Amino acid sequence: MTLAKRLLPAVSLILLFLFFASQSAPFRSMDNITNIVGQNAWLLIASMGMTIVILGGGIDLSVGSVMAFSGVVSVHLMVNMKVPVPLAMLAGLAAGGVAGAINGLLVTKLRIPAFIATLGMLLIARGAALSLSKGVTVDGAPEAFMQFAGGKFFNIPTPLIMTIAIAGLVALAMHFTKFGRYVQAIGSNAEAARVSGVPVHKTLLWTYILGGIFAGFAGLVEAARQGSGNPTSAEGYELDVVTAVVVGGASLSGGEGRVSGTILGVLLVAFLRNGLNLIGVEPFLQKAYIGALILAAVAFDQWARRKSAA
Amino acid sequence: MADWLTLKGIEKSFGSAVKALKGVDFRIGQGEIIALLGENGAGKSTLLKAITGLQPPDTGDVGWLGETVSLSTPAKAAALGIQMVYQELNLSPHLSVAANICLGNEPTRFGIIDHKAIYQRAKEVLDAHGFAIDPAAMVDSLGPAQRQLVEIAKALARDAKVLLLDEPTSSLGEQDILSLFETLRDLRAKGLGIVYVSHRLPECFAISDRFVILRDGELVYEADTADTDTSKVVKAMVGRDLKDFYPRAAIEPGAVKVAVDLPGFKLDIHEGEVIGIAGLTGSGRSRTLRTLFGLEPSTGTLTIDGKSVPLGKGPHICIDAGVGLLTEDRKKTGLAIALPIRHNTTLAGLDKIAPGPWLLHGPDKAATQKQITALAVKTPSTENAVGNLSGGNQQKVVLGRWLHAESTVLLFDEPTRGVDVGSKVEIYERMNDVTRKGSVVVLVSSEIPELLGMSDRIAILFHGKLVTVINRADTSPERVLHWMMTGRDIAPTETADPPHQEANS
Repeated sequence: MTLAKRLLPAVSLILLFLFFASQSAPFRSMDNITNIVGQNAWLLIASMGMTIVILGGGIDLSVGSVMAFSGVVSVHLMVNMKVPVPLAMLAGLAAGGVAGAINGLLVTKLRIPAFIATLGMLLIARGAALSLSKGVTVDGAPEAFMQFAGGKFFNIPTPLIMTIAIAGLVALAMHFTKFGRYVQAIGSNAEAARVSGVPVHKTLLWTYILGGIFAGFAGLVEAARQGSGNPTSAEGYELDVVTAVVVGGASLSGGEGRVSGTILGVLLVAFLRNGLNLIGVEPFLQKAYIGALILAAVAFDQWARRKSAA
Repeated sequence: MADWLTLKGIEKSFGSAVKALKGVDFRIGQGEIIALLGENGAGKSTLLKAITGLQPPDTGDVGWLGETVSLSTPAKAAALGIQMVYQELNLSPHLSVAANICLGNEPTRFGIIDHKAIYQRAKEVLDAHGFAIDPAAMVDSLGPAQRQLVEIAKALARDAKVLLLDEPTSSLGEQDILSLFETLRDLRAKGLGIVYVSHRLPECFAISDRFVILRDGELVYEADTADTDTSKVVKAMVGRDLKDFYPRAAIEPGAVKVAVDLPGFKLDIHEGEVIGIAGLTGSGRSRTLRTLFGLEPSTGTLTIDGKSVPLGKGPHICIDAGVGLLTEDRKKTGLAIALPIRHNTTLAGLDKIAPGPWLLHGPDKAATQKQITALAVKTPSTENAVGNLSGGNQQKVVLGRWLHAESTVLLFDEPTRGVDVGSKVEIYERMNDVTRKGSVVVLVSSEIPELLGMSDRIAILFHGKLVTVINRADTSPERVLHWMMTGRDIAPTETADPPHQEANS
């Protein structure tokens, strides 16, 4: 990755922040910043999983559905089956992991392209969430569960602690473990990795399982924030996640991407959305701005590539 | 007859520091085949790009049939009749042969593509040159040799007078090469000027009328093919005497290290041996290596140092047993081009620097630097992306990967393909080093001189079966070629020595 490419998200983020801060007093308030973190914790957590999947040369379009599925499983268990909160949450994570494992098996064993395999899972997980909840939101989540996303620890909001911890763990895993090295090697050239003795299928399977678990975690955070398991929630969220990862400098053809970049990408998307709201841009147009952001990021990437190739 | 193209005093710089061409005079006559040679970075590609108008020269005069012309754009060069056939063929696999030949030049009727005319036009070109290819066939149904012909036909359909061929035989087998040569000779007879760029010296001698050699951006040697020989050419290319182009050291073989018993391929390999595998394309050379590396299902057995190694269960088992494979196509299956040298070097032997799941960068860098130094890889650092290296240095990185993994059974599939002469010799020297320490090398190569020069014994594959193993001392290029083509020895009357039989020692 070229230096320019690594710096661009950071510079854009600073400029964007300064712009909104100068235009809107509420934007720069501490309350708003805390708010942004809480609202976007799911985005960062799910983006961590997506970073791993994309680094390995894959993609996971089922993130939004898996988030809803995990949330519904968890809240359904704690509300309707009276399962203790921690156990119900573990079950929610496991649900995400299972969805991810199925994605991984479809990709590695049945050789279905990741785009198609996870598109199938997008529908399956959504269907499962709707069926489990009979199509209605499961309300009345216990206070203990809601504290998970709304609490404070030493006066620091729990979502902030969770996101920092998760991002740190993933960064560590990608830089300082064999698993991380394998994922990057596979994303760059799967055949070369195979011929070097890298367990390609096993590694890829784990990228999807982790993607599923992180999506599940993101789903729990959102369910806790809303105090309910909504089977129709998080629709289309995978697109925000892919946007954040790509804006952060990852390449959709695999092998290229960093946790630090993804964090910046998440912040860019989050600040852009919040800032546009506060300076009074109509909500309908906000989507267009996010679309322009991803196009600008990819256009810059292509331009930088041509430049370094010449 | 006037020359098609004359270049005088061609200079080309990239930035202020790099002078890629320093006043080259080059001419392409009518009805001749020129072998254009040079090590990587000598200026061959730059010269070709100057001729095709892709990178016009900074200074210099260009003449076409004696008249001054300009080659400032690819369109101008093409209009004169200069056509290039690239090493990586530029065909659209899902279009027909005819559609490919006329691509970008489609005849139309009332603004609509005239498919009948496309077919006719392609058929005319193919027939005129005796290419036995159906214009309606899909390109993806053709073999590499036929694709090569389609590519040439595409150039001819654009009325080529000067044809530039870059490594045209790199994906062809022996027989296909011979038929390509027939085609080129026909074209020469029709007056075309052909520039043949290749690293394969024997082919250059077989096909060319004249040698032109570039080194460091200068034309350093030019001679009629009849008046030169391999040692003169190699000397001109590398700028120094290569005392022995194939420096295989005399190493006394030790005990049996590897016992191979595959269906149709049974061979014991001794410590310190280099075994060459010869055979035509399709005779199962690469397949044999892939089988020994665990990539292909197999009912055979492999024994290394007395221990049985299960085959067909994935490469990691063979890697753990000490096998390393240098694949035929390093860009496609050997290297992660975008990743640093470090990631590529230690990939197969991460356990050596990281016994657990954790991977620290210090030992990783040190291990990589060790291989860079040992193999003289030209790079500023371990973090340089492999894609920035020349072909020869890339190949050294793949070699370094297996040396780092401490592999003792090294399977080399075309290790010097697309590698410059200097790096070739270095790779040969490393083969000497590892065999001195008791490792074995199995060398697959389409270049018979390389096989003869570097192997202690040569195993001949014919239709997927090992038909004989010949000692280096008992062999000649003609004899190896005869075995490869027929599966039998040269008739006794044709050789001075009595035929030496040593099957499956």
